[in-house]
Amino acid sequence: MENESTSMLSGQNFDPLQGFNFTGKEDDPDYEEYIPPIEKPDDYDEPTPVVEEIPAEERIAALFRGMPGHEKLLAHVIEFCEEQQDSETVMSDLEAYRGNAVTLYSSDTVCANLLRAGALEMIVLEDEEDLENNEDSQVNEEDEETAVETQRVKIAKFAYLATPEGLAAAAEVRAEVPVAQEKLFESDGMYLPIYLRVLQAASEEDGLSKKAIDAMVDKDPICANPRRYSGYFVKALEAAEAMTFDGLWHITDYGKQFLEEQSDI
Amino acid sequence: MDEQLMQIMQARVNTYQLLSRFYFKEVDTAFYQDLLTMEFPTNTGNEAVDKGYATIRNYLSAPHPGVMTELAVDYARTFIGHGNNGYSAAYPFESVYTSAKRLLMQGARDEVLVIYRSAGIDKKDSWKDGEDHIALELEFMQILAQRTVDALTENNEEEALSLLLRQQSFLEDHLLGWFPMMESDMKKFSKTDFYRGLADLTHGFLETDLELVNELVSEDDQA
Repeated sequence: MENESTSMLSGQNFDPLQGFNFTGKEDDPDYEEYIPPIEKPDDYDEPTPVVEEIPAEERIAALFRGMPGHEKLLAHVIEFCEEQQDSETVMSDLEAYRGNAVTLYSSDTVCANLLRAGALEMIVLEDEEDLENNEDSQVNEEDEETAVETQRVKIAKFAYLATPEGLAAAAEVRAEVPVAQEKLFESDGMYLPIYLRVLQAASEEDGLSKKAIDAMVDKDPICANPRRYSGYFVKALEAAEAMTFDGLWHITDYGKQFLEEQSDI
Repeated sequence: MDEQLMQIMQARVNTYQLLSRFYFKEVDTAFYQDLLTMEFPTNTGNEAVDKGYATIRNYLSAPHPGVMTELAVDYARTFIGHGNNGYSAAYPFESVYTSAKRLLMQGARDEVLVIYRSAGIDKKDSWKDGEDHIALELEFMQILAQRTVDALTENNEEEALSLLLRQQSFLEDHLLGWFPMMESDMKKFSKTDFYRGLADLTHGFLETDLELVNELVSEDDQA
């Protein structure tokens, strides 16, 4: 039998740069790398096309989707502005509502987002004439030849007012609360002991950390199959407005009522 | 040197410093607070400068919840953009506007680097972009303007004239050679009046400043 080679590899005539498109001109001092010309786009000088505005309902829905975990905060701001509120009052209320909770969004950003989405509208309380009258115009009168008149920035006072679309979105968020409360009793009935345990612990005056909730929930056999982690229960209790967060979790009035009702049963 | 001229020369230093800061990076809290307390000139004698100052002041005076974010977004939209075709933003580099292929780090960058070094100036290590960035070119003018003030304070008119000639040629050969094209792009890509006003302010000021420098240099020639 002839000894026929079946090897797929060969060391003979092997060019390690074969796969690359080197032309050999790289060492040529006159060689200039070709860079394709960058042409001005045909429509560059055309006026910017007007983009059709997305309806407020869609923008608001996108905002609520884009700020998960902040739905109630957004709803709270909208409801607070059901009647016209000046911006400083809204900021103070928002700060008080959030307490010590850590968040990615500053109060200013929350309001700006709601404004952009069309859930709030801005009402300027000083018109241009008021501003003109109030603005500090100064003239350096030491030397008339170099006198330069100057003006400072004066930010106009303004107020927020919720729009009908914003109020509708807030109402939708509120409508989800009874559903979430019902869920605590019904579809999640097997987890009732867990809910009660967490609520009981959250009724302590100091509040309850997420780490403490993890410790009391994650290793419970009830959570083994299907596997549930503490976040699942925290989310459900928050959605039902049984707990609130300000850096630590605290029981709410509804949470206390829920605890009482269950202990009666 | 009379007091009035010294005031004008010092004002040039301050204005170049302000303009350089506008382009250097987004408006941060410290700069925003400075702008809120700044005296905006209203009758400088140059229409574009007055319009620029007024546009910026009116923008800041109007209520803008989330103003810092809005300005940061507009800075990115205006000067960085989102495309790669060389026509997607007002790129703040001289090379882009003076090279046929709108590329960074071209001849203009090499030229300004030589000019900076001939004045004993080099970029800091923390600056990672090209030296032909508008903020650096404006800062270079600020430094030369400050040196001119110092020379005039020391009654060293020869040095002051030499510095003014250097500024004259830098304005003619560089800043005013390309900024008008960038100004047009700034107005195209920005969505806030803040950066549109800055475009007017910068162009107007550079023109006025060149007129002033030309005047000072020709006065010296006549003397």
